[in-house]
Amino acid sequence: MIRNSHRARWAVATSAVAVGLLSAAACGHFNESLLEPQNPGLVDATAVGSPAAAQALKVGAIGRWRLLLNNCSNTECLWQEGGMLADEFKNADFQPTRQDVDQRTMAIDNDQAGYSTNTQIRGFARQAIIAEQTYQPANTADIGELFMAWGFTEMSLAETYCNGIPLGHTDNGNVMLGPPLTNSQVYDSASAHLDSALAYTAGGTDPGNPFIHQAALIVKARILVNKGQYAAAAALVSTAAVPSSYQYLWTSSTASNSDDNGLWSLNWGSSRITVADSFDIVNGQQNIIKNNLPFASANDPRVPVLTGASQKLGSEDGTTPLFLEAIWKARDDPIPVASGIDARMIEAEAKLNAGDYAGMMTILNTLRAASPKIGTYQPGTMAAIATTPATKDAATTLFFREKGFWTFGRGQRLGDLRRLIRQYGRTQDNVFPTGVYYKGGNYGTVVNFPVPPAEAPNGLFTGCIDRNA
Amino acid sequence: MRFVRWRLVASIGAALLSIAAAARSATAQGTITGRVTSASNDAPLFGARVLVVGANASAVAGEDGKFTMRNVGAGNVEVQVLAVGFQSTKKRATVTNGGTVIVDFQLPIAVIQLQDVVITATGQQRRVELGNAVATLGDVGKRVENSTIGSVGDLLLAKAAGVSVLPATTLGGAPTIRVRGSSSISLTNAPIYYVDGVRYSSGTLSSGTDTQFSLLNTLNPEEIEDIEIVKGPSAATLYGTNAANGVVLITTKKGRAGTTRINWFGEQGNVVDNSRYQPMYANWGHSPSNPSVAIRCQLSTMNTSAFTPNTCISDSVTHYTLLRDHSEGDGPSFVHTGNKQLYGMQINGGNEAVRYFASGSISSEVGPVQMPGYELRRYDSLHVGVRPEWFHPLAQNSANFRANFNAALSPTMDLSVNAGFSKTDNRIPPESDLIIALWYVQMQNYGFKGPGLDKITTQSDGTQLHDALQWDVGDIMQYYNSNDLQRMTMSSTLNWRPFSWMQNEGTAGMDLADVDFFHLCRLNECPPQSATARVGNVTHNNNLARNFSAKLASTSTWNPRPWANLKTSIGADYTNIENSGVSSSGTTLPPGASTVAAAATRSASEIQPTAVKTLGYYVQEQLALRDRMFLTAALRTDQNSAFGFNFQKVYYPKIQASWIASDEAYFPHYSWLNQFRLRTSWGASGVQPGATSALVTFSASSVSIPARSSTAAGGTDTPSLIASQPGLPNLKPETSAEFEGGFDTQVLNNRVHMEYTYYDKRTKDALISVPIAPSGAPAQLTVLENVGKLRAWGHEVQINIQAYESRNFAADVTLNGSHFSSSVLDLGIDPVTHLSRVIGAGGTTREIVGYPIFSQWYHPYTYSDVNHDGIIQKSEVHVDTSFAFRGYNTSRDIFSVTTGFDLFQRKLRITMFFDYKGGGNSVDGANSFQCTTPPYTCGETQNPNSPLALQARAIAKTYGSTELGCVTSCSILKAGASGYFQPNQFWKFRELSATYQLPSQVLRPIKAQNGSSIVLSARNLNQWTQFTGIDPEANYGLSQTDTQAEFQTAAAPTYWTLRLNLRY
Repeated sequence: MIRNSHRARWAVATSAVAVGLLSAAACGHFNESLLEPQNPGLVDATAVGSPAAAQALKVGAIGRWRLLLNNCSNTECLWQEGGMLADEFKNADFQPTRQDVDQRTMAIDNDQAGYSTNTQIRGFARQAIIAEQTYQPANTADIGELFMAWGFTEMSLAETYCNGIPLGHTDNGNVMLGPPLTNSQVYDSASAHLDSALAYTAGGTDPGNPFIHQAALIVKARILVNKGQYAAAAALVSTAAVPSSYQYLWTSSTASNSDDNGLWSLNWGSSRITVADSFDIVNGQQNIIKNNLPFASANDPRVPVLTGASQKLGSEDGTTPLFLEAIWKARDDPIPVASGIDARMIEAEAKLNAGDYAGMMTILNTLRAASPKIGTYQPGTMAAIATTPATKDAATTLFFREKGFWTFGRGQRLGDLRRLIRQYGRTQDNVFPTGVYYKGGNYGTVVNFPVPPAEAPNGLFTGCIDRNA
Repeated sequence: MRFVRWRLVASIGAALLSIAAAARSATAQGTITGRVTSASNDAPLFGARVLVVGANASAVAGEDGKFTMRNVGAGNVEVQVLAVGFQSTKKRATVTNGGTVIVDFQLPIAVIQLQDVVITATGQQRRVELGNAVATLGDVGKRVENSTIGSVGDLLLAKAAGVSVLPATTLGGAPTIRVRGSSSISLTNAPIYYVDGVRYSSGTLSSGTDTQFSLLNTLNPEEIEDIEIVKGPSAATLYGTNAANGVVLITTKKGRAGTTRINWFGEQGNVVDNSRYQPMYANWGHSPSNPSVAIRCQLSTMNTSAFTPNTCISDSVTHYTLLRDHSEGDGPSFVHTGNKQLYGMQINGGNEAVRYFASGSISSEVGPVQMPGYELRRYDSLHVGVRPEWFHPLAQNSANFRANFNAALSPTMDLSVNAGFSKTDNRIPPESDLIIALWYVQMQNYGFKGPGLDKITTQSDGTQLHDALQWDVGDIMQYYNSNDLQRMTMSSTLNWRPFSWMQNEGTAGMDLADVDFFHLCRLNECPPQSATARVGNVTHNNNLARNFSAKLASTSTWNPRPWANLKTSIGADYTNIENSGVSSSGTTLPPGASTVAAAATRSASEIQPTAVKTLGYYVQEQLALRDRMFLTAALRTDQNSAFGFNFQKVYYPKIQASWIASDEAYFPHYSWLNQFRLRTSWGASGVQPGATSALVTFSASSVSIPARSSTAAGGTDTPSLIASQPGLPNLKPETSAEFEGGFDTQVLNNRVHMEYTYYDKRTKDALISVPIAPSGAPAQLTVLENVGKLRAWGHEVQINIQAYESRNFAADVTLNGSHFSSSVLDLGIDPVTHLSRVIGAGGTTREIVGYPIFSQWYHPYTYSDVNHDGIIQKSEVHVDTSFAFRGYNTSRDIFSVTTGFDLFQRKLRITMFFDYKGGGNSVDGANSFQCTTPPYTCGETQNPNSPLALQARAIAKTYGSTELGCVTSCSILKAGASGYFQPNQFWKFRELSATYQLPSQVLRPIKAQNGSSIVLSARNLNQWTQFTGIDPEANYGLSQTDTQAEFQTAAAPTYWTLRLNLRY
């Protein structure tokens, strides 16, 4: 009897197991509803197959393009760090890695100037172009603008980083990597994208085409200048094609402070960078910084400067004297990415290289007499430069000084200093800040940023080809 | 679909028929009743657990020691009694159908007090039946009463072998708890938590500054009965996905039958900051070319007997520790003794049918930070009232309530309902890793008092700094960050025993946490760090964490032979973990305003709401042979909403064996050996990917787009999308399989109990964030892939010794120790290089095959005082181009000693607790920063008497050396924090307590009962370490790679508390 009872219990136990397992299997549909993901805020792939989505992707890509200037987190953005490696800004915070950039001694370990995010911009632009071409092919100004952003980004990479930047792309999640390219090859790639931008915006029915076409002309001309094709560049941006008052602007939201002007953020907002000068104080004595333009002390209307003390502001590190640029005094002041001023500089440099120093001076003095706006800032009228340089060396020095003040803070200075070495035959110690560094030691000899180890997963990449200008 | 429904109906019908058939043939049942008392004094043993061996019947002895077990299967049974502090005892009894058999027990006192019953996924189980080690804290209530315990982290610290706790060093901070080290590279390494059977959120919360607050800190130690740590996959298999890092099971206090009992407690204490703040130095000198002007010399550039750069000639050296300067009576240091209070009451009672428990407590703590007197006077002169939150910016207030009741609905059915509510408000000032941070501005001073040298004596708005650096302390204290957390946990458990051989248990519950983060700087408050810093800014975020869990378990037993018992368990559980939140912020506030709505510029956002759901089923079979050998096999399968679309189910198996060898007749019997048990276990469990990691996603935001015009002054905020995640349809959980084996033994007349365990955990399909070359322009720079294989292994030992015991005096010692190792076995093959992947190349934390998880790499450097001038110059340091492996970043060796002495007829008990950590490394963040950033005032850069090694590490980081062989455009090689990354071993005198049982002469007037006590206790009393920083445990959290984040961070304070426990 007891034995039978035990068997019955065992039968129940094993039956219960079987029931459990069968129920689990049978409840497949029930399980699915229990396990269904509920992520109400999620935008999935089904949402991006429409003209509206293509437009949103285009806006998103333009937003990411601004990471060259805005919203950098742990490192300064490319424009600010490039300006610091050059002579526009000085480091005023206490992070050694950023101080190393200012001192021209940075190691290769860090992802500086936002290399990774900058290279991603290319992918977002490419994806948005494909979406626009698929869903809004008539929006040629948008497509041209995206090609311009793509090319501009590659130009900025070549101006900033060493020879050895790879350019790959991603298709449907498949990453295609390429070999390291020389800066010249990267400029060629950028130039091709600008050719597409110009082709999309030449004529056509899209009312936005003329405006974008002008910006694309300026960017294309900058690329040609980087390639040493001064005359061809100048031919693209004549006064007729691009008036001096032209500006392609990046703006910031007035309602939100999540996308502030990056120069304002780092100079006024966090005081991590200060406008640089041709001298500073070391051990209580004046220290002349060789080659540094006197941006802070020149009292030049193109680069108005306020002292931190006058605004009751101090630098982040608490010790570096703070100088504030006053072109972009508010967090949402717009900043020109391509402008008529850039066009005139390209024309003037063509004159310089053609030996037409008087022609160069005419362009420069015309601008000084009737200064175009920089964003919303209106520089005051400046006296003409009376003396025309007699030699190319003197003309070169004068031109790059003028350009330095006209393009201050807009991501062009590092590329120009590198060109002074590469195209004008000067040595780094006669171009970049040199001598005693105010936070200890001396300035180094670095003239560009290394491609960082983040690129290491690209097996075709083994480091910079060289660190030449 | 129709077929699926048919299968469901048929299956359930078959089950019901089987049960009914069995019920008819197996209903012979009887009752066992009796009384459990102590053999030494015949006192009833309240709370003793009585059970029928090999069956599901169990009961708990009431206040009078009596117990009753109904529905016990008829026949010969073995009844066992387990009670902490007493030796387990078994008796045989014959149960007749419908009859009652009386079995009384008198238990001998056990020398070592251990928990013999533990909680498992299938219900309560005797520890000896398990093949895996389970760490049990035991009587948590007594420990909380008798020592300074402020959090669950304090409870777990060094109390269980293999459980590592890095305590938070700031009030309210999150402790970091790891069980058997770290074994996941990209996912969490934290264990999961259950409170009374319900999944409990333990994540961290933003504090607005460096420290992360913890959801775990809302759990009040006063309410906890017991904590068990299920250590690894071999033990946690039935907890399924997410249990691979261990499971912490927390049981709250419950009502017990008997008269109503009231426990009242009150606690007052001091909070003292004993951090080893180091002096800052000033090397006063002059330039040879301008002797009349004092300048600060750096050791590396000053003239010495053998080095004459003639940039600085040293005249004298001063030093100053501002944080220890109380020379002005009330300042200028903000470090000040804080205080804490705790008051509470607990009531429990009931009868066999209904039992209840209710608890309530309030506590407050003011951290060791107070606005200095000079700031009070300044604000007074400005006619600005100092708000309490400015005066004491570091504080915590808590209120906790908990209630439960258990009811016997019928002889075969019990219901228990638990509910807990807590409210915790934390506020914290900006602390270390920020520009405006309290510790930063006073720790890193100029090395002297008063004006002179390079000192900037005023803030940028002219406010006097009183020797602090850069920002005014009072203005920083205006920077208000608060985190208010309200939490409700509820659970209900129904236990149904339809037959003597079957027990069914179902638990359902929820855990709701509502977190409000609030930051405020009103108009003209806070330091003027930027152009908009004092226009007023406010942030208000609200986050919700919701857990829903339900589980069902059914266990049936059968004795096919008198010497064999089979126990079959099936179960299912479901968890749904949801998170959501909104944030809002605004700037430019009108005077006095403090809301986002009042701000002129506002923004709002919403965090991505997520829901992670897991549905699991399991079956377990256990065979017990002669109640001395236990063999267990189990299988669990899980479905989870975070798995990739192509991956539906994961299976986790386990097998276990436990053998009480010393109970065998043929086992050699020695007088000194009382018990010897061997155990072994192998099992698997997993860790799930992130909630949305497998999905294709796009990110939405807005971008300001201007009109296509040269004169556009502003843009229009325009909605935008960018690609985010690429979609991973094959994403699987990480699966860890673990072997563990060991033994338990009791020797020397049960005076020594020892447990040893070896474990070896292998993780496959480890989720690795594989980096993608940025030049490929991918939307994400990493992609999660199941490509890794990892190994973690180690040893654990616990020894309890009752060294001496007499009527008047007793001494006991508990030793805990563990050693942990890990290794990366495989990271997959790089598709481009065809070599093994390296994760984190170029960084300090790397994953490389053959090296530990989170291995640390730095540039080595060498130095030599070549010119023998006692000073290391730049040329005397050389930094290597390569990186070298420098070890683990977490402690591998954990050891603790807890010793107790009972004196004066055991009226007074003194306990001391010391713990050791070693085998790991961390960065001395304070010196690493202070020595290499302006004004460079640490001893290593200013004090000529600094050891050469310390001078060298500062030079290696600050100046480095030129790349060898480089001619032009050379990078300088700097060693980074290489010299500051150092062994962080220490011994700490962690706890001291003296508990005195109040005599009846004292208790009688206040009508309190025996067991009332007064306790003087202290925590964090002293430490012994070679670590050069403030404290080897100083941290404001850990990174994903388990790297200790420290940056001019204070050590945990010392607590001195006096507590009164009264029983009624």
